[in-house]
Formats: sequence, structure tokens, C-alpha cells
Amino acid sequence: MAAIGFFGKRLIGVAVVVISVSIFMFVLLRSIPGDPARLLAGFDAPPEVVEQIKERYGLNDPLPVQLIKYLENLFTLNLGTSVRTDSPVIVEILHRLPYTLYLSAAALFIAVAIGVPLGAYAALKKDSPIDYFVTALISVGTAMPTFWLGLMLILLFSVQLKLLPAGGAGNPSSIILPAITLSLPVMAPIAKTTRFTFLEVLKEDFVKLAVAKGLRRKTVIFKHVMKNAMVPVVTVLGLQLGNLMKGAVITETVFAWPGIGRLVVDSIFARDYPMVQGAIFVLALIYALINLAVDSLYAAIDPRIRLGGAS
Amino acid sequence: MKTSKRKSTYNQTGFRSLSTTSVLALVVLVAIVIAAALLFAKGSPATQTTSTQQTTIQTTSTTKPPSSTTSQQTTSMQQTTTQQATSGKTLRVGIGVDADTLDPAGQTTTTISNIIRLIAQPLFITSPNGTIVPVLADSYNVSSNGTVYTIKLKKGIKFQDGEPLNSEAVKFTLERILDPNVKVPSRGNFLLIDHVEAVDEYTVNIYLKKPFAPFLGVLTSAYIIAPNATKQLGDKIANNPAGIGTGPYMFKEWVKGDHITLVANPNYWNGTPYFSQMIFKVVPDASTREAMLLSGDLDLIIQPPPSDLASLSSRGDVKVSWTISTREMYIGINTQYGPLNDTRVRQALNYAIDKDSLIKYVLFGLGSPEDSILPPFVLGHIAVGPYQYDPQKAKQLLAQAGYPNGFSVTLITPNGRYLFDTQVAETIAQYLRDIGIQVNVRTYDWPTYVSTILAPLNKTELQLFLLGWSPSVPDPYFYTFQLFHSSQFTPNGFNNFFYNNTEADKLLELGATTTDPQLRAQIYQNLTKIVWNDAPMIFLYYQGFVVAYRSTLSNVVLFPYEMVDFASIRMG
Repeated sequence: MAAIGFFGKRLIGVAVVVISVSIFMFVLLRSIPGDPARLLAGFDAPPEVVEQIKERYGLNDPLPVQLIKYLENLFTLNLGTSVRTDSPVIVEILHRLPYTLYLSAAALFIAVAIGVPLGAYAALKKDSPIDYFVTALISVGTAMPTFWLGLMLILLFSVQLKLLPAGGAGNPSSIILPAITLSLPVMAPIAKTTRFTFLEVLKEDFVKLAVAKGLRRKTVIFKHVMKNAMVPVVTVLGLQLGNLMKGAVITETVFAWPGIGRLVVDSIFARDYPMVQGAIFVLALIYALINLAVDSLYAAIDPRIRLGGAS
Repeated sequence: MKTSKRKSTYNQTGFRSLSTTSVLALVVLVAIVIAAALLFAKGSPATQTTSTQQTTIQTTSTTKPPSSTTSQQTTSMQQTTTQQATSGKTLRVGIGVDADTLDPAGQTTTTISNIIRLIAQPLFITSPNGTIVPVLADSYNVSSNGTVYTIKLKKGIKFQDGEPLNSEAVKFTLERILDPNVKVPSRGNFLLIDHVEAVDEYTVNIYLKKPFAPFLGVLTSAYIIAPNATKQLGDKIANNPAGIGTGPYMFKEWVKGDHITLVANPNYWNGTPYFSQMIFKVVPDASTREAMLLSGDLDLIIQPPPSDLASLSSRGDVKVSWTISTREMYIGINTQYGPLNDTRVRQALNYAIDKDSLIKYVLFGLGSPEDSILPPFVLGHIAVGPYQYDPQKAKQLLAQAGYPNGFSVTLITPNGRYLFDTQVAETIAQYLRDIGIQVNVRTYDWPTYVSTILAPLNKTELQLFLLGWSPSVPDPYFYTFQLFHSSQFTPNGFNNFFYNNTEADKLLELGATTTDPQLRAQIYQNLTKIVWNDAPMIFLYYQGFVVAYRSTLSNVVLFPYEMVDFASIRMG
């Protein structure tokens, strides 16, 4: 019962966030200059041709009418028709979204699989050269521009060594370079948080007790420290999802990966209102749901949080 | 902030109850996302794939047949290639933009039109030297009043779905372009068609509302499609144009954002196509395109990064080829704005720019100074320039016009639309500062820029603006009428110089209706002299169109209108 209350409230929250984002996006898009029909027809097209295109996509209706139509359609999950491609927005998005999810999941996996052990190891070897090295690596990882890293990886692994494809999505190994590139800016904060919380937990009394009562070092680290240090890491992970989506835009461009990030950017430059709105709606929905999942993860982990959420 | 708050809360409450569940839950979450994504990635792109029928043969390589004359022209595009089987080879091309649609009537970029031309062919094309030559047409005739175009078609040509190419197909194609229910961004060029008549199986009459001399050029952008195949496809033509054309290659698949694949048409009417397959990979970043060429993932790339051309040319495994394109780059001048109203001032601006240095140092050599209002390949081109770099003369002219100490002006430029656009604008600003003009450069994203340059006279804030002009039809009319005729002030046309010269107006009207090429050429030559002297723009350069390819390729022919003759390329 309490759990239903918690989820019910949070789901309403998700709906409110997604609808607000959609309305905000609608207003924002139309308040920046640019005319989708004109951009499509070219600046030398006669006005009548531009008008025909506007008419076709209902761009001549008053803005409030367009907004109401848009929201009405949203409730039936009809995201409209793309001005640029003339196909249903939902079809275009469902075609591109899996690529981005796949890339993000792979990047997240790499970030966690490397970031957590790296941070933990640095904490255990605090103030040693290894710790300094990892800390420096974290700084570099945070500061490195994604496009530059991507190009460097391409030059090394594709052009020089000819080991991996430089771009596209046609080959199973195509995912490797973009996933590494995208993982780095996420891996750095994860390693940093792991190192920090590890150090905190190591100072706790129960760790001292565990050591004092003669448990093996391995057991102390994995059974006591690691488990307790993971909650903040999960939090950071949730927050990094936004970073992943941001990074996906650049990574997808550099590696010619046909994901949704590139679709959004291309559509913004064409002022393809329905496509941008649709993509942002879907992304906002995913983002909100994943955040909900991450929060639920705490609740599953710690009964106190669940009770707190329901009361 | 949020992180630290949560951290402290959960650190205290978390450790006692935290167990393997937390780690497990996380792993499960990641695993689910990966699994879902894998499933999707496998499933959905495949739905885009569609294969087409078979058929045979050879290339529309544009050799340079004699130039067309107005009446009775029988030059055909018979090719040099002999009948042979396809080589079994695949050509992989890196392009910068993806298609919006594969409907031949819906094209907006030269890059994708270049691919469409392999599938569906027009009645005529513009050859690399600028002359219009027949493809599906056999000959044509224009009535003496210039309103009826009679076109005879080549016989025995079949579409990829087996339908015959006949006058009904031409009529169908043109009527579809005019149909308001079909999205045709370039419809403007066709609006002068009154009606189309299929006279007999291979003869079609096109009736115009009034004489329109560049009409043959307009027909080069009308890709003739098969009526039955098109009707059956309906909306699907946008994603799956199977069987619709007469071209050497047939549509195979389009994975949006990734690639478009074509396969040889075994029944092609003009010889066996050389490549059995062509793959066009969408690679938006120029540096990545270059890397994919060097790593062997691609055979040819459109527009490599200009800064790397020198190093690319010096390699043994790569070749670079470029041509002056039909794109004119200029700084438009609002001729009705303050000091810019004076012809001497506008000429001064022209003398102030060192075009040669600009091309050499900013464009890495990828351009040629503008010497006329028409590019070299276009009918009526006559070299009247360039304005030689002469800052002293520029200063004198400014003084004569009453601005010995210059004036202040705003130069606007798009960012990332043209080769080094922002850098070019900044360089020009510096040259203008050298003759005492205070220049303020402002940069816009393209959609905002388009809205800005299309504002009407009473609302415009335009003073100086950077632009590239490359009409889809390389006919002198499209380089001049919308730009310079006084009826074409924005937003009616594209005269945002607000240039108004009655003599020029007369010549522009004459050029639009005179069908005799020689008379026409003369008209545009006279126009060139007037406009050049009035200087409604700072004439800059013809932009280069460049491709890089692996040296195993040969016979890479470029069209100045930013296209590549893919069908003529050979490998190995």
C-alpha cells in the first residue's frame, strides 16, 4: 500500500515533468527565429511554394491552436509528421532511439566497470603514486572534449592501426570507439565519487571493528566497504544520464552513429518543430523514468527511504 | 547540491541494510537496458530494408557532346562504354548529409539529388562544361513564340519495374510535380507550366503560360518516374523508391542516418553499370569522413576538410580533385542603406578586398576570384573583373563620395553554412577597417540568418551580408532575375540588395524570354557590365567543390554544380 502511494505520486510527477517540458519546448522553438517551410524550400523559393508547405503542416494556424492540437495529439501518443521528411515523427524516433540506447548502455557499462574499481583502488592506496595517477586521470577525463577524444581514437585505432571502424553502425565492432568516447566523461565522476565515498566508509567504526575482529582484508573491502559505498555512486549514475545524452549528440556526429542525438540537432537546424518536440518528449520521458527507477533502487535497497517517500 | 545532499543522507542510513541487492539491482538495470537496446537495434533498421527487381547496365557518364541549339537537336548521350557484365565491385562514398526523402520530386540538396540521378533520370542534364544535353530525350523543338516545348523521347527505354518510358510517364511526372498534394520544395521553377500533352507514344508537348527561356534547364531537375510503380508505392516512395526510374542503379535500402545502398540495374538501357553496388555512408563530420577514407572504410568522400587538402594530396594512396563550382560567394550590399546608396562607396568596398590572399590563406586555395556575375560554365559568362585589390583607390572613392573618414557598418554572416564563412567575414571586416570603415561582424545560425536576409525593405536591418548563391538550375536567369530585378525585392524574390536599375530590369526581362542562345548570351553579357559597375555586392569568389578518393579509383568527373559523375568512376 505504501509502495503504491510512493509510485503513484512519482508517476504523476513524471507526467507533470514531461508535459511541462513539452509545453516549454513548444514555446521555446517558436520563439527562436527561423521558418521550417522557408528553410525546406530554400531562400529563393517563391512565397506561394513556402505557403503551400506551411499549409501542409498546419504552420499557418494561430500558435495557441497549434499548441492545443499538439497537446491533444500527445495524449493519443501521436507526435505528428516531420516537416523535413514527411514521415510520422514516432517512426523516425523509434528507428533512431535504439542506436542511442545501445550506445548509452554500452558507455554506461564501461564507465561503471572501469570507474568503480579504479576509484576503489585509488582510495585503498590513498596518497600513493597510483592514487595521484588515478586522480590526475579523473581530472583529464572530466576536462577532455568529447569530439577531440573521438577524433584521436579514430586516428589511432582506425587510421593508424586499422583495427576498428572509424564510423557508422554497420559492423558489430562499430560500437567500441563511440562507447569508449562517450563513457569517459561519465567514468570520471563515477571514479571520483567511488574514491571519495570509499575513503569515508573506510573511516567508519564498523570497518575498524571488522578489521579488529580479524576479518580478511578482502572480506572487509568487498563485504563491508564496497556495498556501503555504492549508494552515492548510484546517485551519481542517475545524474550522469543527462551527461550521457548530451555526450551522445557529439559522439554520434563524430562517429556517424545514426542515433537520436544527431536527429535532434539536424531537426533543430531545419526548425522541424514536430520532430524536435517529439524527440524531446521521448527523451524527457525516458530521463524521468530512469530517474524514477534510480530512486526506486534506493527504496529497494533501504526500507527507510521507501517509508519516507510514502509518508 | 543535490548529489551531496543525497550522499550524506544515504551514507548514514544506507550502510546497515545495504547488501548485495543494491549491486545486483544496478547490474540488472544496466543489463535490461543493454538487452532492450540490442533487440531494438537489430529489429528496427531492418524494416527499412527493401530490395528491388533485377535488371542491366551502364553509365550515364557525361561526355561532352556538342552544345545544344534551340531547335531540332539530335545529339544523344551514346556512351563510349561497351556492353559488359558489372565488375562485381562496390563503391563506398562518404556524404555529409542524409536524405530527407528519396522521392525524386522532394529533393532539396545537391548531394542527395546526385544519388537520385543514378536511380531516376531527367530528360536533359547539364554537362560539366555547362551545355544542356539530352538523356531520356532524343530531340526537342521550341515553338517560335517560346511557349510550346515539343520533346521526342528515346525509344525502347524501360523503367526498372518494366514499364516503358513514354510520353505518358513524362506527363505523369510533370503533373505530379505540380500537384499541390505532393510535397515539392522546388515547385517554384515549374509553376510556369500550363499543361502537358502526350501527343503520341514518344512525343510530348509542354505548354507554358508565357515564354520562359531557362525552361530546358528546369527540366534537368525533373526526374522522370514510372507512373504505375509510383502509384503503387504511394507514400512509400519517400523511403523506398523501388522500380521508379530508368537509371543505371536501383534503390536497395536506406538505413536512415547511416547509409543508402543502390545496386546495378541489369537491364539499363545504356550499357552495363560498372559497379554492382554503391553505398552512400552518411558521415556528418568532415574529419571523420577523412579518417574513414584513410582507414579504407570509404573509397570517395565529398568535401574533405580543406585544411587537410595539402597533406591528403601528398599521400600516395589518396587523390584529391576539385573544380570551381557554380556557387558564387559574395557580400551582399543593401544599396538603399545610408552610405551604401552611393555607387562609389560600393566600388570602394570591392577595391578594398584582396581576393587572392583571402582564397590562398583563408580558403586553403579552394576558390577562384569572381570575375563576373555569372560563373564560368554558365551561358553568357563574360569576364569583366575581378576588381583589383587597391586600397588607395578605395580610399579615394570613399573620399569622393564624401566619406574620407569612413563610416560604420554591420556585416552579418552565417556560421558553418559555407566553407569558412565566419573566417571569411572576419577577414573582409579587417580589409574594410584598413580603408577606414568601422565594421561590426555579427554571426547567426542558419535558420535565424535566413529570416534576417529575407526581411522586406521597410523592416530590413541588412547592411552587409555574406551569402553563397548556387541555384539548382545553372542557367543565367536563376543567377540574375530574382537577385537584381526591381520586382524581386524580398520577400517576393531575393533582391535583398534592393537594387533598382531600369536598364538592368529590361535586360533581365529580355533574358527570361529570349530562347536563342546567342542572343541570350549577349543580353546577359550586357547585364553583367551594368551590374558589375553598380556593384550591389562585394564580388568575392566562386567556391571550390572538392572530393578526395582512394587512388585505386579513376575517371572521377566532377560537375561544377557540386555533383560527382559516380557512374563513370572505375576502380582498380
